[in-house]
Amino acid sequence: MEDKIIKKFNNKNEESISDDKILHLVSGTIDSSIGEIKKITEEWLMKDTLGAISVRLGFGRDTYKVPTGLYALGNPNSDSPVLVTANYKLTLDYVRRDINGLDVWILIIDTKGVNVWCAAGKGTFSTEEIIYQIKKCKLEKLVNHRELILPQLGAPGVEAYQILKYTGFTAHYGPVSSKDIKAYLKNNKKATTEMRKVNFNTVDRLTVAVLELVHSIKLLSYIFLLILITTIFSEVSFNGYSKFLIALNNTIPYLVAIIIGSIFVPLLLPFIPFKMFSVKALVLAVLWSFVVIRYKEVFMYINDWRVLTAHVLGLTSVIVYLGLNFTGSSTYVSFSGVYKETILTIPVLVVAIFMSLALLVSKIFI
Amino acid sequence: MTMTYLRNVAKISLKTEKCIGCGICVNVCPHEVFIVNNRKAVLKYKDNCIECGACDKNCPFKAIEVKAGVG
Repeated sequence: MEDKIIKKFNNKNEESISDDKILHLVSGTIDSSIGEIKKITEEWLMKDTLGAISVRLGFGRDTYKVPTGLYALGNPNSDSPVLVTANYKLTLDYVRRDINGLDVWILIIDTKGVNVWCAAGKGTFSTEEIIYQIKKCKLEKLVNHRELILPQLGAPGVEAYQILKYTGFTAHYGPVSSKDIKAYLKNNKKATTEMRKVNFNTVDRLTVAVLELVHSIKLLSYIFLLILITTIFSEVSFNGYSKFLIALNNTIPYLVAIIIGSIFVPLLLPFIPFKMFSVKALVLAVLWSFVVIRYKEVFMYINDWRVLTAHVLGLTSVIVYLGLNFTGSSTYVSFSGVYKETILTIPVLVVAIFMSLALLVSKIFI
Repeated sequence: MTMTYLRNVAKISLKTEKCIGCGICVNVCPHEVFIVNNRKAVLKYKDNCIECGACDKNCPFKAIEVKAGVG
């Protein structure tokens, strides 16, 4: 542990983080025993709301960070609690909003602009980073007490007992959600069972699903191109415009498949039977395939068993793949479980996609 | 609604002889895997474990071992 902390102090290339995401929130300074500390407001301004929407859609997500160090919320003094959090701007925004009215110190550590839980898993929300920031900010001179409150989801990256050993500060794990910080403080820094639990309710699932949709919608252009190429070569009796129109209509079920895979699988997750995400997705994939076959004329599919089989396999593969992919956004799966599921699913997907392509190509020649 | 994932896959083990029942594992676990009974931690809902490694990391007596994946 010593060497890791010393390395932090000796790092001459420490990234300087721009304060342009937080400057509009600074409402003044507080004079303290260690100098002036920036006071930030608990209000959400238009810029914060727009920023939140933007990163939830996946834009500017990698650079949505704020400078590390100590900040004041309300009018804290030397007896006020110290809360530790990540330097992802959205994380800070939730903390600011949820503890409005309290007087606390916020110690922001460098998690490379990543939220607490993911940063803990990746090792940036770490024991050494917390110790480094405590020492760098001279926290022991700012407050009389020797207590820190960490977000519970930081625990996978932190050894609380080491923080005590190196800094003299006792690290308490607070609640999972910043919404419960007030109740936690009122409850003498005891998190109740409810506060300690990670949920994955409909709103949670939908929030992360939207990001998945933005990421996966790119698939559509490749699918369209593939369908267009096979249509050009297999339906020689049609003119160019008709071929384009056929390919376009043929692609519509795939757009729906992407929406099913990235939005409806997450949304209906608790209601679809089976445990594996890929099998849950398969249930919806089979249903959607039935609808597409039933209304094949609507999507201008040619009534040929090879074409229809190819599209059923293609649509199913897209939905199952996106369903499997959602394990990465969920909050209740284990690495070993996902590994097992992936090992079972990927070979089946590869065969299905290969067969689908082979059938479409065979239509060109025979 | 509580959702559960695959059974019997989570790689988590507890060496009861090292445990003193301090309860930090109960505090850091996001899925209520542990309870403390008669001053010893017990893996009550092992299948709920997501292998985040929080208990492993925070156990001062190294009584818990988790093969942690990337959060």
